Amino acid sequence: MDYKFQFGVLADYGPYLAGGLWHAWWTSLPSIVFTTILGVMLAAMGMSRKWFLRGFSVVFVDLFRTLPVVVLLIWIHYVMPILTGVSFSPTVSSIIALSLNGAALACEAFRGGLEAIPTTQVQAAQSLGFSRWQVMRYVTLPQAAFATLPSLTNVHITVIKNVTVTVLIAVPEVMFRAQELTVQFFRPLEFYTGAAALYVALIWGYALFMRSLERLQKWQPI
Amino acid sequence: MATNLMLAATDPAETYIRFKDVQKSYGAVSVLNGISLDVARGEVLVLCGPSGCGKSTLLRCINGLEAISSGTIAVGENRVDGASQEVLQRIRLSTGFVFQNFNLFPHMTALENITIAPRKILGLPQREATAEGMRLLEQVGMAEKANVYPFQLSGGQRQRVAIARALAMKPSLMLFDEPTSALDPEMREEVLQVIRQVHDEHNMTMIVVTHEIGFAKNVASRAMLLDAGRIVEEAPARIFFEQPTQERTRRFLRAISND
Repeated sequence: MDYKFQFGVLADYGPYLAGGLWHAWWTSLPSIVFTTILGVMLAAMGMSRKWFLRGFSVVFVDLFRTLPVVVLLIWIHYVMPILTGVSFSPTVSSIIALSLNGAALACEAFRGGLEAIPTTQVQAAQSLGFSRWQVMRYVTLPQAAFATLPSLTNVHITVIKNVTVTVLIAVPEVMFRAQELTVQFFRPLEFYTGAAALYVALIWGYALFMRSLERLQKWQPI
Repeated sequence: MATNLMLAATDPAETYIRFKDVQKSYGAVSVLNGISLDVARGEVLVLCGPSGCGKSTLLRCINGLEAISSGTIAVGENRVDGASQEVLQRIRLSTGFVFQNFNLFPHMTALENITIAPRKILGLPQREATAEGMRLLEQVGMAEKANVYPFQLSGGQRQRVAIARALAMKPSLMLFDEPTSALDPEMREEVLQVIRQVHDEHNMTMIVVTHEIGFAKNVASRAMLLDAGRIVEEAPARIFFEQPTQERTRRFLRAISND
């Protein structure tokens, strides 16, 4: 171990490295939004009375939960254009891949939350004349949302972490820039440690934000 | 005992709910064994029976929370068995249901619990729904708890809000499934008082599953005992509780007056 730390390079190139957070965030945020919306829809479909909606939900979740993100990402970015002629920018390809994978995970989280709502709540709402869709919209989903928050936070964190694999298709986020700088200056330890610190800060901040949402719950289950 | 009891007192023109040879079973377990019963408009019927006798199931079959296995149930013009979603909704809109465990929505305040259905189902504007909700909360003596969440209310208070929630849809029939049995004795009276008042003010058709004899004698027009999914005895409430003809009924009434 006679490596000489020269964290001084971070003083010069740290801002460029940290600039990667901008790309990391703008890949994460849309992915998190799509993950959540798609996840709710898949969970709702999974509880539908129509067999094809239930079937779609099961196939979707099983497919994208089992597909490794790297394989999915490469497939969308390099293989799909060969098949369809449609190609996306690296960022868009990444958002699609991360959303599909995240939605499968979020669906499972929401399903758990929805199943935890007692059936008596559904019966009370049905007795008032609510349709199945209204029961979900006004009674079970709002209750499940809070119950699901902690596990949903985990899903979102997984999505943010998965942004690092987009280095493979050259999204200029933190890992990509760390790699770039390392090749140039032969300082892997400094740059990758810097990348680690930046991701930890991003995810930690996000987790804090999500925890503050949990405190918005003014009611308690009875 | 005879299961096909058409009461002479009920004018068929006025019949509101009609059960015909209703059977209900969960797999091999049969819960209702050929119930035939007419309930007239404006009548208050009290159902008694040991736990597991099918009285809750009977109630839940009326608004389609449970599907029957055979026979027919009609509420007003509408057949409950085999009803389409629209018909079932029509029945539920005219039927209020009050549960043993209240089943208030925990994520809504007392007032929101009452206004959500009129707003989202009947399309009542927020302001009107709130005014009507406050009027109902006053009626059940809960006006000062309008903005409180259910977890902050006592059992009796929760049940009073639940009754107001059902009344907000202006039903013509109220079904009460053991509305006081999850409550402390002191809270029972406040809830029974509200049910009495609802009856006096709206002269609504009611079916009440309860073991509150005093209440039943005062309010009910008719009472019946259910055992093993059959009607054992039915009579005008006072006669049912004071001079039951069946040994099974006498045994049951002795048992409940001992607790």
